[in-house]
Amino acid sequence: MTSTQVKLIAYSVIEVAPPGYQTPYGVAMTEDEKGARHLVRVKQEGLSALKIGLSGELRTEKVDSEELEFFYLKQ
Amino acid sequence: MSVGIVSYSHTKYGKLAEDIPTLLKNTIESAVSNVERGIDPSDIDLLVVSNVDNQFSNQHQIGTVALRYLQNRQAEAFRIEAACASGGMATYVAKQMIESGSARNALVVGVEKMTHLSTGVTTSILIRGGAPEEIKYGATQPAAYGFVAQLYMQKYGATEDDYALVAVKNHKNAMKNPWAQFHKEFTVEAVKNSTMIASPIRLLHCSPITDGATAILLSGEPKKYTDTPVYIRGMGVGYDTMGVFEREDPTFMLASKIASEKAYKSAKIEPKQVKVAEVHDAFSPAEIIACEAIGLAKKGDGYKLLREGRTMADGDMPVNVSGGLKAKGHPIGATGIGMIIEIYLQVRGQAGERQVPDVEYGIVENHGGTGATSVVTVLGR
Repeated sequence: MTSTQVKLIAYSVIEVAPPGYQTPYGVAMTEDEKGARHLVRVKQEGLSALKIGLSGELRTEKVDSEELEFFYLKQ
Repeated sequence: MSVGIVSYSHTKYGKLAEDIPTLLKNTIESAVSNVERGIDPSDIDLLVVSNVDNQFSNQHQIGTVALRYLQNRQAEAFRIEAACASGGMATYVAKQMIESGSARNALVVGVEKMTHLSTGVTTSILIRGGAPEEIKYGATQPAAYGFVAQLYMQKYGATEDDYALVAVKNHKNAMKNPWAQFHKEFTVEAVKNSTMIASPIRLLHCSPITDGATAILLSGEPKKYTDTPVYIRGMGVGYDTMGVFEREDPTFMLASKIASEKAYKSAKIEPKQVKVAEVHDAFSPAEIIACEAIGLAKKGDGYKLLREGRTMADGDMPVNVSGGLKAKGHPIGATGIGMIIEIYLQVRGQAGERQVPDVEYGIVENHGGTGATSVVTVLGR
């Protein structure tokens, strides 16, 4: 598992999705310390706390056969 | 050479009973038979079909299918796809081929059949209009526009009321458009209370799932076919990154700025000379941002146009008098051509109850995805 420190730039909580997605889920634009943007996923349990400007970290996790980056709030 | 529009055809938008071949047949035959001085199909040597996804149409080689209905097997025919900008792009390619001498007269046909699929399946098709990363992460089109809408509010002080006002205006405008999918008005509160699709984008910010077909006949010798052609005075294509997240300024539509600058330059006009605009309001915030991109407002001031009533049908810069994609409907492959037909009618003074007075020039902004591809067209007398 890898981890990158990021800031939340924008997010959207998706209620209507293609078949196969469990809604709601979040997608977010984040920016790391080097200014690189990342498109990431936010898990259902983290949606209610989302706010632009929040700091967090990205963790790469395997979903089915794909590796995705997930945003987690800084504890 | 000035390429002009000499004829058109436009179905009603909505849930249509006809299948794709029937829509193509009716639209092609109607556009050909509507030419005021008549045209022999053998003089139409190019047929360009705008159609976005064969999962919608269940048909490959749709250009060749369309050729069946032209009564000219010698014409060249093919399909163009640029997501929601397909109609504009098909028109652009046809115009370029006429100007290069590869064709004399070109029929540009747009068609899409979407309502037979569920919203979920449609969403899974439309997500393909995004960047590979957006597809991978499940960032649907409303979600990608959600990023834009959220960042724009934060940066410039626009509010959810401003986005709702776009939908309210366009539904009001659609009441005067017999082709529109919806003839129903909504209040700001109704828009703000509608079902959340992908925050902050709600159902009544979204253009609908639509069936429809449109066609325009372009000619390098338009006066041969009508006394009152409408000329393509300027046209431009522009591009930006596929993903919103990759953009230096996600709140701005760079592709539409580039495309409109090319279109204004070739038309030799300034934005202030445009009397009416159709812009790509696939999601309501997009209308505001597109107006900025094509020079109708300064960057960050687009939302003030509607607050001040300027983009209302009776304002000094009416935008989407057709009802826009929001209320007229959005049969994707047909949309860009339908937008051009609205401005064609406005320039000819034939837009009926929707007519804006004294239109010498009108503009169409037709973009794909969240604005990665844009085609801008200036039409004039």
